[in-house]
Amino acid sequence: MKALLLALLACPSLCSASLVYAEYVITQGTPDNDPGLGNGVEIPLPPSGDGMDLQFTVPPAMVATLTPGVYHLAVRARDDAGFWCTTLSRTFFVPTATPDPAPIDSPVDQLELFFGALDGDNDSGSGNGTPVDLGNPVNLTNINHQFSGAEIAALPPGLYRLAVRARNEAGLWSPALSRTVKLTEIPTPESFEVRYRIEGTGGSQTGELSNGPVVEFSESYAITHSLQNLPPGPYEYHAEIITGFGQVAGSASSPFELVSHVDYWDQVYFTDPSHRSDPEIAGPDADPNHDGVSNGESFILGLDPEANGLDAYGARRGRNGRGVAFVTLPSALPPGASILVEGSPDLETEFIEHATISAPLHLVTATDISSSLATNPLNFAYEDLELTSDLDPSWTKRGFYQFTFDYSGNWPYPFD
Amino acid sequence: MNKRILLAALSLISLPAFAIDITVDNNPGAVADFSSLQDAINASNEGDRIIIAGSPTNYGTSALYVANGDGSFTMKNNLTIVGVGYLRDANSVPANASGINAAAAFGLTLGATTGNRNLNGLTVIGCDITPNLAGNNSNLLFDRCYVRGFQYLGNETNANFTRCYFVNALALRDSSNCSVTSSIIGGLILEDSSVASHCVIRGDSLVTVEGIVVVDATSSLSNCIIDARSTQAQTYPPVFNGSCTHTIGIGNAQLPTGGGNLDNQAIADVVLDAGSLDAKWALAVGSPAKDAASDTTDIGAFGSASPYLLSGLTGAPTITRFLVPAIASPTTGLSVEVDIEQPSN
Repeated sequence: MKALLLALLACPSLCSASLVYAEYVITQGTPDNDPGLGNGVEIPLPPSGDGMDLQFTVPPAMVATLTPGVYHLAVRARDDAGFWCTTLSRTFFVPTATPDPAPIDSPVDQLELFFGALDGDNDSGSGNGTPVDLGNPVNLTNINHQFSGAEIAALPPGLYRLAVRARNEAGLWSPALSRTVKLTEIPTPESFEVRYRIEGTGGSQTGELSNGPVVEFSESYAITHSLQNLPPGPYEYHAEIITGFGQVAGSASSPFELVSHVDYWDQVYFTDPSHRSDPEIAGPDADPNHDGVSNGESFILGLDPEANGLDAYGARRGRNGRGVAFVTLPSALPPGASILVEGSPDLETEFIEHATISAPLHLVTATDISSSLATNPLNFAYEDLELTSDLDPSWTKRGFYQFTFDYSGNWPYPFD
Repeated sequence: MNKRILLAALSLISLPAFAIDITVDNNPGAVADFSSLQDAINASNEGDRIIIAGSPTNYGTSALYVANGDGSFTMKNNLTIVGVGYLRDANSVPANASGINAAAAFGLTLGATTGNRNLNGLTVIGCDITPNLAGNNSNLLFDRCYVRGFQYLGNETNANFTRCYFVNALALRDSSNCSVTSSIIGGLILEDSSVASHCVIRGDSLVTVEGIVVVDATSSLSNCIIDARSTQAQTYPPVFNGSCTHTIGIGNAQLPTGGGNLDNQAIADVVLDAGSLDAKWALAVGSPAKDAASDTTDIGAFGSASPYLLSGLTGAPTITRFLVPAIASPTTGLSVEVDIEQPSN
C-alpha cells in the first residue's frame, strides 16, 4: 500500500498520569482479537511522559500485509504507576488491490464487425467477428473496411444487422452498435446465357449458348460452337452475357477470318508464303516432298505435304470421313518377314477392338489404288493386325494399297 | 477402478464453465445475446461478465438467483455487470452513433433473507442501478454506479461502494467490513465498523432523524466534504460518535475539532458548485480541500488514489460513427466506416 496510515493519539484524553509506554494493535472483526495488553506494537514516546500528542505511522510494509477490508487500529498507553488507559480504536479501510477491471485510460486495441440476425440472440460472441485493422499507430477515426464480394456471397441473401464493437487493452468490449443491411442474392448459374451474332460478307448467324455454373463474376468463358452454312470470308463475332434479370452483364466482339478447309490446311502446312503462292509447290497435284502422295491426297490424309517421306510410313488417319491404310514397303523384304497394319474404322475414332486370330492370316493380294484415291478412298482399317506372308518382291513402290486377306473362315469380323 | 467407474466419478465433478462476455441490449434492432437482463443472468455462469448497452428503456428488475422449482435457489455468484456510465449528456460525453447516450438502468435483487439465498460475489461497474441489498450478501463491489433509492445494508459482509453517485442516502450498518469511498452521497450512516473516505455528503437526503450524517463509535469517516447548509441538515445535524478526520464542512457541519477537520466553509470556496450533478463537487480553485487529505491527495470524492470519475465512465470505447450502405451484393461488396471514441475523464 502506497499510502501511510497515520494515527493521532491525543494522550490526555486517554490517561492523565505520566506515560511510560504506548502501543498499537491492528485487528479485524470483533474486539476479541486483541492480543492483550503489552502485546501490541510499541509506539516510541517523546522524552516527556506527561500529557502529549503522539503521532506515529504504521509502517507501509505492515499495511501491505493486510487483506482488503475494514480494520480496527487500537491505541493504548501505560503510566508510570502501571495502569493502562482505556484502549481507543478507530476503523480504517484497506481497499482491494486487484486491478481495475474497467480502467478509464486503457487504449483501444481491437475493432470487429459481425453480421447478426435482425432479432433474437444474434451476437456471435466477443472476439469472434471480422477483425478490422486499426493501423500502427492506432487510428480511431475514418476507419474503413471493405467486405469482399465473396464474403457477402457467403451469406444467404436477406436482411442482417451489421454490428461493430471495439475493445480496449484491458479486455473490455463496448456494447455492439448495429445497422440494418440487405444482402442481395447473385443470379443462379442457370439464369445466365450467352447470346452471339456473327455477321460478315457471307451472311449472319445468331444463337444462344448455355454455360456452366458461375463461380465468380470474373470467370472467363470458353465458347465453342459450330459455324454453319457460312462461306469463307471476313466476319465479326459479337457475344453478350445476359443475367437472370435480363441485364447485359458484359459483351465482347472480335473480327475473324473464316477460311476453307483447304485454305486452312495450306496456311498450316505451307508456312512459307512463297511456297503457298507457287502452284508447283502448293498446287493440288504437286508432290513437294516426292513421297508419291500429292498435295490433294495429303490434304485428304492429313499429311504434311512438305515433310520428308518418313511421315508416310505406317497407317494414318485421314480427314473428311475417309479411312485409309497406308503402307510404305521397304525395297528388300526377306521371305517370312512381318508387317504391322494399324487403322481406324472411320478415321475419327480409334479402332479399339483387338481381334483374336486363331490362325495366321495370309496376305494374298495387294492392289495399288493410288491413282483412284481421290474418287475411291479407302474405307477400312485394322488395328495391331500382324500379317505374315510371302510378299511379292515387286512391292517396292511407295503408294496406297488395298489388301485382301484369306482368313480361312476364322475371322469373326467382316472386312468392310 | 475400471473405466465405467472412472467415468461415473468424473461426471460428478462440476467444472466451472469458461468465463465469457454476455451482451444485453434492449434497444430496438440491437445485436446482443439477450434483450432481457434477467435472461442474461439466468444463462450466465460463475465468473461471466455481462455487458449492458445504454438504453432509454429501463431493463427492469432482475434477481441474481434462479428458483429451482423445489424450494431451493441457484445463486448467480461472482458475476460482473458492466454498463456505460451515467449523466453522459450532462457531462458532454459523446453519444454513440445511434444517438443513444442513456445509462444502462436496472434494478437488481441480490440475495434474500429467506430461502438460503445468500449471494457471494458481485461486481457492478458503470451502471444506473437500484439495488435491493437487504439480504445475506457478501463480497460486493459497486464501482462507478449511479445508485438509486435509499440503501440500507442488512447483514451484508464485505460490501464496498466506490466512485458512485448516490441519489439518496446510504446506511452502512447491521453488516460487517463495509465501506464507501470516492463517492457522492445524499446522506450517510456509518455503523458497525464501517468506513467512509473521500466522499461528498450532500446533506440533501436524510436517512435517519438521528442526523444527516451519523458515525457511530466503531466507524470512521475521513477526507470527506459535508454540505450542511440545508434546513434538513440544520434540523438533523451530523452526529460523530466515531472518528471524523480531515473533513471539511460546508456550513456548520458540527465537525469534531482537530484531526484535520475544517468546518463552516463557504461552498464557493470549496467546490465548483456549478455544472452537472457530479461535476459540481469538483474542487474550486484554491479550495482548502486541495492536497489536504490524510493521504496528501484532495479531500472529497475527486481525491484519493482512485478518485471519482465523472459520469462513472468505464474504459469501454464508444462507437461514434458507423456508416453502412443499405444494400450490398456480391458484386459491390460492402464498405463501412467507423469512428471510435476513447473514453477520458
